[in-house]
Amino acid sequence: MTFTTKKKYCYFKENGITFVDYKDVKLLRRFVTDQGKIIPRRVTGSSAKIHRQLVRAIKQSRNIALMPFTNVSVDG
Amino acid sequence: MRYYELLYIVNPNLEDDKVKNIIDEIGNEINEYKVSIINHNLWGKKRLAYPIKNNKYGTYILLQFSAEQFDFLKEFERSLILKKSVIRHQLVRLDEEPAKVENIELIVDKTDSIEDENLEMLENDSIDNLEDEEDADDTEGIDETEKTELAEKDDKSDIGESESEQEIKEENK
Repeated sequence: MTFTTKKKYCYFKENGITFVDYKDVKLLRRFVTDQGKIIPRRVTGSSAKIHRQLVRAIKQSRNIALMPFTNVSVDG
Repeated sequence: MRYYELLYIVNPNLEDDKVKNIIDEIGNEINEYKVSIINHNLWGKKRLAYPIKNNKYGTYILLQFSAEQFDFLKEFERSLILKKSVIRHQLVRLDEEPAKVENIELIVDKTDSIEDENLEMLENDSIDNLEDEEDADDTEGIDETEKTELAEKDDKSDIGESESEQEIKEENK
């Protein structure tokens, strides 16, 4: 039995992005779960340098209410 | 020489003239500190990811500038906090010089900005009927009966009448 895993790649490296902007919500959404949690680097495959920028950008984005801290909807 | 970027949110219930006044005010204020402004753009009304001071929407304004001296920033940020119409602000230092933006649509995501219908509702709504606003926003969760209620409300020019009517309906339920 063999396991074949999809090759992970750095999204930013592929697209030649060197700077992560906190205002680019559309891009940042890719690196956040539906709940709004930051997806770990081992899953997204982004490089350490970019991931540090990414985390910072997401947190800045949350602070100015462009992105949610959490998306959990409570009934009632 | 350092480059800074300030993104601030202004109370969405303010009229366009007042928002312009605030933009001018902040522009003048920062000009006093020997700073050259690169961009000062109005993004427009956007839905906030979470409510700030009971506001569901906010008017975003982006200010980018370069400064020779940096000791004024503390003072400037404090003056922003003291302004009641500015709900939230964030000052970020940029590594590189930002490009001049004439066309604001480049930054503003069209899908995120509010449709015209919602904008009209925002302008009509006062603090008294905040609950109505919430109903209007969540169009997915509205039952057919509620929809008709909303439609009736829109038809009525007199707000007092529609409110009393709604109360009666709630009592019947």
